[in-house]
Amino acid sequence: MGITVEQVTKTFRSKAALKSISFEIPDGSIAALIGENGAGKSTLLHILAALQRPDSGKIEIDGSPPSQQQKWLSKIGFVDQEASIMASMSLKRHSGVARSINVKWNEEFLLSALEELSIPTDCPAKVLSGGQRQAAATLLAVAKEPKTLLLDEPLAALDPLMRRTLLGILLAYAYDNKVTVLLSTHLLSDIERTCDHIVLLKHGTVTLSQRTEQIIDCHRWVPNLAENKNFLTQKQETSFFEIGGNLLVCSDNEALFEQMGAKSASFEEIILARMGDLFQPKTAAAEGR
Amino acid sequence: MTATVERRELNGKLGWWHYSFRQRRLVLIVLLGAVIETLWFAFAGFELNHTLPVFVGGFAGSAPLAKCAANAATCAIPFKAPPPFINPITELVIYVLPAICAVALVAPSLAKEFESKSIRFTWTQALTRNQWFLSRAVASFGAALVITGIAQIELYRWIFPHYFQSWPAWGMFAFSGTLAVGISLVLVAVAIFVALTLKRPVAAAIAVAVVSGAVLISASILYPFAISPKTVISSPGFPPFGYTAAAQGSNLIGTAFVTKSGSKVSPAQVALISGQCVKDTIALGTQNIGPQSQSIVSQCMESHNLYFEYSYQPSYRYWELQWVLTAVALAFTVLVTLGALYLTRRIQV
Repeated sequence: MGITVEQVTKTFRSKAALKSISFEIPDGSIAALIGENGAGKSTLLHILAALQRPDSGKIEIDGSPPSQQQKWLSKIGFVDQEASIMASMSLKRHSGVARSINVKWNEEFLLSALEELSIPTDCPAKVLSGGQRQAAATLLAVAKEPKTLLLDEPLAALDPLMRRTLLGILLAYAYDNKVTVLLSTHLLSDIERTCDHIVLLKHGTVTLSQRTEQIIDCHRWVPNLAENKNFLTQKQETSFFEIGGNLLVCSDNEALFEQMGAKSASFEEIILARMGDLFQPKTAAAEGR
Repeated sequence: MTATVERRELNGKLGWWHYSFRQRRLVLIVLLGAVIETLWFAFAGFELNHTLPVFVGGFAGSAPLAKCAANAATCAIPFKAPPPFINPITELVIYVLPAICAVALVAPSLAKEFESKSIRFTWTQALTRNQWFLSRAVASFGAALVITGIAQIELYRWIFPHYFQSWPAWGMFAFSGTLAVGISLVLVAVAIFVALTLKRPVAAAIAVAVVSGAVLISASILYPFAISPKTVISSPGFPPFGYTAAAQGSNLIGTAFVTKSGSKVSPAQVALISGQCVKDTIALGTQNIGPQSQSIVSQCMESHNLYFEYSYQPSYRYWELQWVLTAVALAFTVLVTLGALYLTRRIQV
């Protein structure tokens, strides 16, 4: 069942954070939520975690809408961007408290993962480094044994080694238990390596929601020549981006790419192109006007 | 890696370290308070046993003087020196202990959860917001009740016996009896509500301090009017009716000049009549200001149809007023607490 978001809108005073967004993440997927700063990623994750309410729209996580009920809360794991854990409590205490209030609690997993990452469990959380706190918060969310994990930039403060180890732990857990993961991050290399679904947010709207392979497969670089441009504008099913001397074209038509002498595009190039403000997609219909 | 601890398996295994740091700190503060109390009581008992009663004359405001003779000139209050640590500052601290609990303990600790964003961690565990609110409310109200209890014991043991020799003590109406408990619960409810609204410890503490001050001052000033006061029109004789009423434990609220039928007399007319009466008394040759001359002045005023109207709450109304105001405070507490619960369920973090 995964995560389904339909026409969700959220406005803070007069600023629209999410503008009627819709996307779907299949059950058991590891999805990345990408977008520039202020695109609405954290707002979306907070709404999915029932910490905030949308102004309108419909959300379903694992078949039921976000709620404040114990049954629903026990099915999700959430990690805040600021690694919001209790500063004065040790991780062992966190585990003790969480164990007493959660329906399930996998303490063995938590302690072994913390040990693997060399994070001390006896000292107050406030003495841990930002990265250690972030990793600990992520592991605390996983120890709940949720069916859906919502992670807001869980890797941002981590050093490369810890990032790799934590990702390994996370992925192993997610694959073993068929957990749906939605994580927001700016680390494109990690996304390509680990995520099988991408949701791209731009100025509060979803501009891309596809499987990672599909995204890479459908994008090609094409020389920015007048005949190529004219040709593309006639193709209704094709969108393209003008980037300097090239056109980044998205199409399922392999024959079309061959005809124009297209070259493959890297995941990073595709995402950067689609994130950038300057590179507005041009469809055949728009060019025709 | 796969061992899952079911919640029900843990029943009965929750020990001291399974409670949060804040909960453990609260218990330790209360225990520490109890130890200090015990030491203070031991010290106070020693002081009382070694202090000789002294006698001071006079009439202490509206304090009840049941043990005094009716004649003010011979009235004396047996007075024991309070323990050395009871001074105006410590006395004030005892009065405002429940407010201190609301301002310094409840409001900042709750607001801190929001400011530090740790509430996001708490609210995404399998703990409903209702359960979270209940746990915080029970801890806060419990702390307030314990602290109010301590303050009450201090008041009755140290302040009442030393300054007021008999019951009831109107002077500290809002800080004693059931009303003290009611007010402390109101303040805690307000502290919870304000913390949820402002979400900033310092701002919440300041706001609750302002509200607490307003509540305590209003309660101290307005309490006699919760039930319509009794009034009596009396001859402006000497000793005045107010003295007798106070001696019987009543709380004198105010006096006004009226005619025998109860019509108000203007201040100008009062000044004219009383001035005339004083002149007449002097003309009679009674030079000294004392009971005799005051009696002559009173008779003169009565002859000019000038009387005193006394408003007061009799002593038997003490508990009536306490119950009424406690009920009001409890109703307000329930209202504010329900408002805070509604806010908890709606709040976005």
